[in-house]
Amino acid sequence: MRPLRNRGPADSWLPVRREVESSGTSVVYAAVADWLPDDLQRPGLAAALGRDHKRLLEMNHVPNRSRFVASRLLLKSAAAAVLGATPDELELAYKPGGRPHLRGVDQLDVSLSHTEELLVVGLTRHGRIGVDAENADRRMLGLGTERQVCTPYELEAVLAVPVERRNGELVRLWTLKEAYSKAIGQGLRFRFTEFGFTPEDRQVQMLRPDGTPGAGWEWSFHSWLVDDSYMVSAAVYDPGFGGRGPAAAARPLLPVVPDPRLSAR
Amino acid sequence: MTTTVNRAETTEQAVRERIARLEHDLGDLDDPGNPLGADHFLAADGRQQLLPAAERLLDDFGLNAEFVPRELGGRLDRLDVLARVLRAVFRRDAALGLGYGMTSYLAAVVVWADGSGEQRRRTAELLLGGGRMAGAYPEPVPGNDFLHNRLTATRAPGGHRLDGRKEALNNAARVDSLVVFAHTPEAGEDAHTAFLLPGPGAADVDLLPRRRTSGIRGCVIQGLRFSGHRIGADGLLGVEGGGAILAERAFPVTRSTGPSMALGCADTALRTTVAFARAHRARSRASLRSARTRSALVDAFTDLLVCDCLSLVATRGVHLLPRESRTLSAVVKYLLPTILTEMVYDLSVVLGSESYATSGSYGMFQKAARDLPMIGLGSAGTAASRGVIIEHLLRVPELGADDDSEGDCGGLFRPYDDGLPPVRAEELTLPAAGDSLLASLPAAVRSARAARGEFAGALGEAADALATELRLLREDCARLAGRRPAGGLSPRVYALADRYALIAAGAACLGVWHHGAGPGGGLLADPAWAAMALARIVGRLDRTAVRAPEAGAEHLLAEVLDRFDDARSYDLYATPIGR
Repeated sequence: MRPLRNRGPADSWLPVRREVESSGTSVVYAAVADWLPDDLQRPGLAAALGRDHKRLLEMNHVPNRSRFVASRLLLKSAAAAVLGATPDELELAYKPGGRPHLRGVDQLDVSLSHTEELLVVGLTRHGRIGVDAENADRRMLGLGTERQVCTPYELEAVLAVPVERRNGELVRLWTLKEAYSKAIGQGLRFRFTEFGFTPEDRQVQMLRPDGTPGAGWEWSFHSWLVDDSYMVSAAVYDPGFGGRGPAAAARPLLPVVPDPRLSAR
Repeated sequence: MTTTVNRAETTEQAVRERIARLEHDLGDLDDPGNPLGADHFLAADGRQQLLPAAERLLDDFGLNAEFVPRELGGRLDRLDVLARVLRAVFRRDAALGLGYGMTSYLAAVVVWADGSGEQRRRTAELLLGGGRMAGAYPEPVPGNDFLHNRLTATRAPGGHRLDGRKEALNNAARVDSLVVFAHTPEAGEDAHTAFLLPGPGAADVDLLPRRRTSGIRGCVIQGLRFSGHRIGADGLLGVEGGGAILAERAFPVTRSTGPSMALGCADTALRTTVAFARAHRARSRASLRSARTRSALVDAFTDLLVCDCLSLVATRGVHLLPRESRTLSAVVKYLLPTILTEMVYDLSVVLGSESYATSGSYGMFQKAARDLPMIGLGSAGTAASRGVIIEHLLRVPELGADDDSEGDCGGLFRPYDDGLPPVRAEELTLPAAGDSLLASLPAAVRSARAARGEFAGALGEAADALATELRLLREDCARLAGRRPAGGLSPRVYALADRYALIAAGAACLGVWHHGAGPGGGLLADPAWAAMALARIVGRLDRTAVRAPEAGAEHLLAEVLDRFDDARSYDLYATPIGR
């Protein structure tokens, strides 16, 4: 799996749909500009955003507003394409901790991240997903950040990384932690020094601060460098109920609900 | 071993004594000297087996009698009590609760619903003698690998022959009796039929390899393959082609009781977290001084109370409102697995790295975190229940609006009232004429507005917000129902079903408070918990609508700590545990 680039509302969703069908999970990225409507007052935006429209009206900071609108439109369009619905038919809601979800559609889990001009959306039919993106050059090394981001085991492992790649390694660990924390609905509430990941050259696994195994095989983790400038990570939870192969692909994600009034009981 | 049951075991006092006996026998989970302590359950989980000492104890207790109706010699006469008793088992180990308990009950309930006198008698005898059962239900759409059922039965001289596979069945290798639903094409294109079979000893029944699961690892889940297996006429359950209706009769029972039992598993996760917080010094972020820790504990307790109010209404609803129990139980099955799973994730921030520990004082936490997501079997497990809710929204779009009287449904909300009418299985599939739970809301909202005391204002405000959400939902449902039926419905109905489920949960909470109000009602009569519960539910519908009262959180935190110190359960009952 690699993140798939989307170039705006006119772009095809076929690659994303195919990937969700075949592997169960897809990560999509786009530029804010691709998804930002020319006119935030345009009719139809309120319907497209649903209850989020009220939040938009309360936002004053222009870049934040742009990312907010563009990311929600991207997420709803991607989810709608995968589900075979229209974006207006889906309601983006939030759990008490702030985690976004498609109300009533637990068969497709979603996650959202944005940084600077980049938007990232994760979609999975397995269980849960969290995604996070950061500028790969974001300076983290030498600011004391290491001690807030890394477990003792990771601090040692980071020192073993050649110095020119060390900052990038920190950014990778940071995005993995955010991705996992978002997948379980905790955002930054879960302290990043309390769980860690294997060094860059190994299959990514979650570890406890002392380097012993953390979460089990039901979790998988991925990191990618996107457009040569952003580090994107994803955490996917799959309890193993089955969601791969032809049998799973044949199961419709959003079955048409027959009108019960048409069937006599 | 055969369990005999005494008539006097029905009263509330007898129920409490029975639960106390089971809790006492299972003992203190934290006691390293207890052969049924946490270390032993964790080790058994690691070995992927049920703890043998625990199975022996449940044999001695005669747990199976809980699944057998009283008229057949068992102790079952109230589903809310069944769930309460099983919580004691789920508090120790969800795998034990399923593997020793719920798995048998899922099968037996089909026999109770429509078995012949002889089938019921034989099944009761088998269970009271310590036997086990399992059931292969029809696969819902969309299914998953665990719900997959490709069994076909064709007519043969003297009965039927059974072919095909059921991919995942708990205890498949060790059951003494099986209930299977098989496609019977000769009775109609989509017709299913239920059969009662002996365990899989026959040569024409193959056991398939054990399936790996991330939670409930002690459960041995395997598939079965039937190759021309003969079923005699006495194996037919109900009528040929009657399987779908029979499953519908079982669902209100299984969907309301199963998730309610699993509350015990989440209860242990909360207690383990409180222990962790208690063990940390004031400077630690995990300590009770930390705002993050305090709100995590209070939110989790609030979620458990919300889930229990809903469980109470749904389990009692099977007795009191059989026609409406189809929807009530679907709401439980739809909502509880998700809320409980997420509740445990929310608590994990308190334990931090210790939330992954597989042994030691807090090892039970990661076990609960792995076990709980298995209870609902993922999104495929909730899909059928969501479908039931959608059907209700279209058939009864006024959602109780035309009935401002409370009727006589007060009994739904009173956890200790005994004397519920027996389950009338044939009524469980009749269409509902109304929505008594939502119809009870106006009176409960009025009562919330008139409440007195420190939290009365917060309660009134939250109750109003819930009433507003119900009004909005009714408008949307009326719009949906106003459209001409045209085959498929807009996917918007999925979100409406979710909103309905949350509002039903809110109505259940408010009803429990309203009917528990009054002197001597303890926590349940206190507006603080109800205000917190409603604020949390309304927040899931619209996160800007209301704020939970801060003092209410302090109030609930005190209750959380009291119950920890006093070893009482985190649900509506505050049951003494492990002593």
